Formats: sequence, C-alpha cells, structure tokens
Amino acid sequence: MQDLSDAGKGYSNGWGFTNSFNTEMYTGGIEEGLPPNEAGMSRNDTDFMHVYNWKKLAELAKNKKNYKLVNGHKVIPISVAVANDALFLIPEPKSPHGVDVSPDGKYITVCGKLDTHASVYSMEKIKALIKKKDYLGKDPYGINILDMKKALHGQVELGLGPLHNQYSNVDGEIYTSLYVDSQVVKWNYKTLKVIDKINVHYNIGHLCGMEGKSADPQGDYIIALNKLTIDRFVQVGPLHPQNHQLIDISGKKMDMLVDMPLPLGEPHQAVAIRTSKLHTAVRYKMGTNTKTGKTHKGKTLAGQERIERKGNQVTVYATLVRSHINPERITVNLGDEVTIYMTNLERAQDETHGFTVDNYNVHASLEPGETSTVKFVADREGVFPYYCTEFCSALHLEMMGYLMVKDPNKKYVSATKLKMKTMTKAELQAEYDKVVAVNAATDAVIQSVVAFLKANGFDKYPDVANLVTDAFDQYGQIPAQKKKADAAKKAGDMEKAILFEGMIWQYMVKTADVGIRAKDNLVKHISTKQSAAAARGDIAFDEGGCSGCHVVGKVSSGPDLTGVLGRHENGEKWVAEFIKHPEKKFNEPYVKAMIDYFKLRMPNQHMSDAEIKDIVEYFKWIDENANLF
Amino acid sequence: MKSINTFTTLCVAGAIAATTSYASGGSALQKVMKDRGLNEKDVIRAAKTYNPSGVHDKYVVFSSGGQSGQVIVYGVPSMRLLKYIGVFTPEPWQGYGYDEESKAVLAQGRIRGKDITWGDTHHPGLSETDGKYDGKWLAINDKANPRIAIIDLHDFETKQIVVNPVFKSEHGGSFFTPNSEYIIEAAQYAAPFDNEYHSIEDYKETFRGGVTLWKFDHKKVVL
Repeated sequence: MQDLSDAGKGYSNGWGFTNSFNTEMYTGGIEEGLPPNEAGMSRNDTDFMHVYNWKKLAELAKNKKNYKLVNGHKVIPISVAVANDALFLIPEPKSPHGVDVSPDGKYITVCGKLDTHASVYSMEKIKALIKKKDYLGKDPYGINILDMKKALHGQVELGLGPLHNQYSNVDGEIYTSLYVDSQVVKWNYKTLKVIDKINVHYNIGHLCGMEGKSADPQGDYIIALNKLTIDRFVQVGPLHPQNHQLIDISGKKMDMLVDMPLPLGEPHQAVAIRTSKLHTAVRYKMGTNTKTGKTHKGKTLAGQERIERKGNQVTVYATLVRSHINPERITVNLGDEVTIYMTNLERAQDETHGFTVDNYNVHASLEPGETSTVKFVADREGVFPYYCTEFCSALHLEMMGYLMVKDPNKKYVSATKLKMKTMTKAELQAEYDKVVAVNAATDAVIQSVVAFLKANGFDKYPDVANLVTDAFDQYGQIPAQKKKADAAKKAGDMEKAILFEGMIWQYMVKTADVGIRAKDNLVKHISTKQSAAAARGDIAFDEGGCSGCHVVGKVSSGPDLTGVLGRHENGEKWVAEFIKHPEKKFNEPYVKAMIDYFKLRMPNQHMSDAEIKDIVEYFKWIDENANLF
Repeated sequence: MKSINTFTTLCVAGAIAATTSYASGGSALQKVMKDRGLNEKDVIRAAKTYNPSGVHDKYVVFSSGGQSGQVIVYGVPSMRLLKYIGVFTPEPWQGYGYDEESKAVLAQGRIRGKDITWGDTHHPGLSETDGKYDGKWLAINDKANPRIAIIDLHDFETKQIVVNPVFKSEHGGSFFTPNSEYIIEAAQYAAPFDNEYHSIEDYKETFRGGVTLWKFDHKKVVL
C-alpha cells in the first residue's frame, strides 16, 4: 500500500518518491479471530520507499507493448518498470508518512510514525548504487532493493511520532512535525543536528512552510496543522474546530504567534505562496463560461434579452445589472423545461449578482462578465419570485421578478381590478418637472466630478481609471432612457415619462457613487503626504466629532475649514484656543456672525492639547492641498 | 510685557502637552494590556500578525478542507480566512453545484456512473516552473474517492475533476513535477485494479497499489 509521495527536483529531477506500508501484506480479519490490521501491518521494522523514474515511465507508456489497458487506463506492469531500471525499493523505517525532497533535490527525508528518527537519504548515493547495480536483493515481485545503509546520508533522533517536513530559506534547515510529542522540531538535514523545539496544541499532522516544499523556500513562518484542539478555543460542543498555529521562524528560537480555528472539515496539508505571485482577475470577458474559459452560448448583451419557446422547451436569455433582472416576468406552462441563461453585464469590481428562483433549488453566483445557466422542469404550478441573492446596490431588494407557472388545462378567472387613485394632469406635470430638476442638479454634481478628474489626470492611475470606466458605463445608459422619456412625454404619457426620468436618476446615482470613489482615490494619489501629526489630526478630526458639522471643501452644518488658519490673526493659536474653549470666543464679532448664520454654536468637544495640535497640523495639510477639495 | 508673559506660558504649555501625549499613549496600551491580561510578548506577537484595515497579507495559504471536500484560503501572517473554494462538494454561495456549468464540473467526478457529492481533500499542490511555485494552478486530491481536481488561480474556481480509473482509494497526491509536466498520484489502500470481485485470499496476486502520472497541460485545463 502506498502513502505520501514527492517529485524530485534539481539534482533528482525526473525521479519520484513514494512511501509504502504493509509490506507484510497483512489482510486483517478481526471477525475471524485474527489480530487487527494495525498489528499485522506494522510488524516488520521497515517498509519500502519506492524510487521511480517518471521520465522513463512516461516514455515507456508511449509504446503499446509496455503497458496493459485496465478500465481504459494504461498500466505499466512491475516487470516492465524493473526491466527498464525505472523502479527501485529502499527500506525505510516502518509505517512511514512524509517523504520530502530538499530544495536542491539532493536529499530525501523520510519520517516513520513509529520510529523516533528521521532518515535522510542521499540522491547522489542512490544514483551511484543504481549505476553500479549494487542491489541488496529483490522483493517477491522482482523489484531490486537498494541497501538502506548505503543509500542513507544519516539518521537523527527527533522525538516521538515524526511525520512531515518543510524547508526554509536557510541552507540545511528543515522543520519536522512530531505527532505524539505535539512539537515542531527545527534541525539540519546536512549536519544532522537538532537545533530547536516548540510545543504545539495538539498532535500536529502536516506543517506548512512559506513555499516550504518548492525549490525556493522563503522561511518567515511555519504553520502547525494540529489534529486536536481540546482547550484552545471557546467550547462549541463535542466536535471541535481544527487549530492552525502560526510560528515565527525568523529568529534563533521559534516563537508561537497566534492560533486560528478552522471550523469546517479537518485540513490535512496546506501550501503557501507569496501573494505577489498570484495574479487574479476581478472580471471576466463579457459572456464567459467561467468553467471552460470560453464564450458562453447563452451570452446575452443589453437589448438582446428574450424568451424563446420550442414545444415545451423554454429558453430565457437574461441579463443582470444594478438593479434589475431583464426579463422581469417569465411565464411558462406546467411541465415546461426551463433554461435560463444569465449574463452579469457589470464591469465594476466586486459587483456580483446572485440568482435564484424560489422553491426550485437553483442558485447561481455571477461575477462581473460571467454567463451561467440554471435549468429546471416547471413541475409545480404557481407564482415563484426570483431575485438577486447578493446585496449589490441600494436597490438590491427591487432586483427581482416572477416565474409564473400556468396549468394549460386550467381556466383562470381574472380577479376584480382594484381601483387606484389616478393623478391629475397638473399633478403629473409637477412631478415630471421635479424629477427633471433633480436630474439636472445631480448631473451638475457628476460634471463637476468629471471636470476634477480630467483636470487632475485621472488616467495616470489605473485604479482610478478603472473606476472612471465603470462610472461611464453607467452614465452611458442614460441617452437611451432619455429618448424613451422624451418619446413618452411627446405621446402625452406622463406616467411613463416620469418612470423613465426616474430610471435616468438611478443611473446617475450609480455613476456618482463610483465617480466620487474615483475622486477620493485620486485625491489620495495626488495630495502631498500627510505628516504623522497631520494623520493623527485627520483621525482626531473624525473621532472628535468635528466632521459631524464640518465637511472639508464644502459649507455644511458648519463653515468650510479650508483656509481656516489664514482667516484669523495668529491663526494657529486662534484655532487651537477656539477648539479648546469655544465658549470664550462666542462674543467675538466673527464667531457671532457664524452662530447667527448656521444657527449652531461650536460645541466644546473636550479635545486634549495634543489632539488639538495634531488637528492644526491636519488643517495645514488641507491648506497645502486646498485645490483638491 | 504682558505679551511676553503669554508667550512664555504658551511655550511651557506646549512642552507639557508633548509630555502628556507621550505618557497617555503609553498608558492607553498599558490599560489594554492590563484589561486583557496581556504581557509584552503577547503585544509583540499581536503586532506581528495584525493587519490594519486594507493591508494585505504577504502570503496566501491554500489548505485542504478535509471532509468538507473544499479548499480553504487564508492569509499569513494575519491568519484570516479569505475563501472556501467548492471542489468535490456543492457550495451554495458560489452557486457551485446549483448552476449547470458547475454541475458539469462535479459530474466529471462521477465514479462508475454514480454522483459522489463529498470528498476528503488531503494534499494541495501548486503548479511549478523550474521547481518554483508559479501561482497558476492548484491541484487537490480526494483520498476517499480517488480523484484530483484542478483549481485555476486566475479566478479561484474548480475547472476540472479527473477520476483515477484503477485505484479504489488514494493518498499521495497531488504533487507537480518541477515544470508541471505531470501530477503524481499514489494509491493508498491496495485493491484490485479492475472492477471485479476478488477473494482476500488472492491479496498478493490481485490487490495492487500504484502511482499514476497525470499529464498536465500547464496552459489549458486538460489532464
């Protein structure tokens, strides 16, 4: 029976290593009065490490005479592998677990659960033995066995229950988990010396170094993947979470930094990679089937939404974008097979839409640009809401529609229509005028943001440029809606004109939402760097409640503070005094005028002298960047 | 005269303010340490692992999810969870197993015509170039039902599942060769390679272990 494996690299590239157990070939049989598997399978002192040349085996598999087909799968028999010097055995301590190749590929460390030693094999010695055909003998299947003593670089006593190994960036340094001792041991596989040990909680299995099994291990940390947690966390019933412990290995002694409970399943092994090596996408090319990476046959763009029927097959081509699903009503007959292709038309980062049809056990998560399918038989009559399941926007709740399943054999009698109060022509006109005025005002805000972005070279900063693209995607929807609104108005349908104008406002709000975020990001890029004191002052300004009334760059419930230090003689001193004891200056003419204008008095927020000093520094930073606010 | 006095007073006040600020910074930390029963070492450890809002981790860990049949993603040194990736098991949030595209991926993991909707994920492996991780693919094995799944690190989604046609269980996977030419998968419990009944008395003759080398196309997801 086989256990863990590793691929050779560097010096051992082309070779593979796999542990085995039960070389006794014991088959148990408690029910027949025989000793259990655990006794019979660990009787011998050693099992075998399999050493095989995968490059040779891959070549062999190209020729028909070298393999047998089993269940349609090429299987190279032991005899062929042996005849071609592609498979060897080396004894290893019994019931082994981890087999781990060093970063340069020259050493292979094996740990046996029942032996207190780690065994370090030398690939140079193994290659030499194979070259000389220096074998100890053959196993019953004819596989050549190499002498363990001749293949070993050496053995080291580590402790009870050594399992797995990871490497660091220090030459020769290796970390091994000790299951029974609940420890991680740091040692050197070249000098065969133990360096340090640390307790873990409890009964560690695998351990995870930072790129610790690659040719380029990074050091920094080791994570202990413990099997038992016992008392480490708040008790949550008899089934405990798992415990991953982060150990700092950058110093001379290992240092346990923190525990992390893992609450779903028992993880076995983990691999770590530098974040800088991951290059993930935030959106797909529009209409992608993410599982195949190809354009989805159900890709649907705005304006292409439709419902097609062929017999009892109903195919829906739908789109999702903040904040509607198009179509909003799907009517089918009982028994119809319904396929809904959905495309998320968003390009904005993190604008995922979910989709479900209530009571039909389907659900999709559509990331920006993704096309997915849900399919079901409409086997229950009734009305079933469908909706976006991922909170996507302020009007997420309204992002819904209905699946209506009709029984074609039933006659439906329409219910009496409830009479709704209708608006007069004048009322409709007034509402229309109001909506149009709000849109004009909102558009003015958008234009001011656009002017700011352009004036400050937004396209030099990719994160800002992406947001601006997203904002214009929303803004670009407006002319089509405006056309519809104007057509409705011309036709005298004010009701409809108001609704389309309302839709324009929806797009404007979405534009402004992203646009303002772009502006904030741009300010961060182009403003001067805040001093430590100014940064503290920025926080104190918010936390002290100042921002409740003062918005920098705008007159709000209190005056705009841009330039405040220049408004008074000895400005810094004056402002500091005013923050400290505002009431002492209420009779000064300037303050009096402000109180009259805002109908508010500056409250005493009991800021400390240090905070006040920092806030003054923050005001200086604002003045340096006054053009940005 | 008066103005000079005021000037002097202010200077002193400034000096006091600076001192107070320093002392109050220290005492705020000491208060937290006292309230939470932390010593100096704890505070250093906390500082070594704390990520302020918006700060990203230096490393990303892909951990097997064991019986959840998933892959767990978290950051180091913050040890904060980033994602659970649905692999051998339906995962509703990602729609995995509830839309047709992901059902098709899970269906690749059927064994002898039967759906297997759970897995025992054990050993994640990262794809390599020159023996170094290249951040492109993650492979993970299912010990219970001998399968390997491939996750694309471009979007952290499971793209393919392959079933070992001859093993009945496995353990030693998934290990990439240094240039991701192959993925090594070793059997666990010896069993007949075919799908027929064999007596336990024939263990030595018909029960077999093995190592499978899966050809891996580093560019496409085709095993």
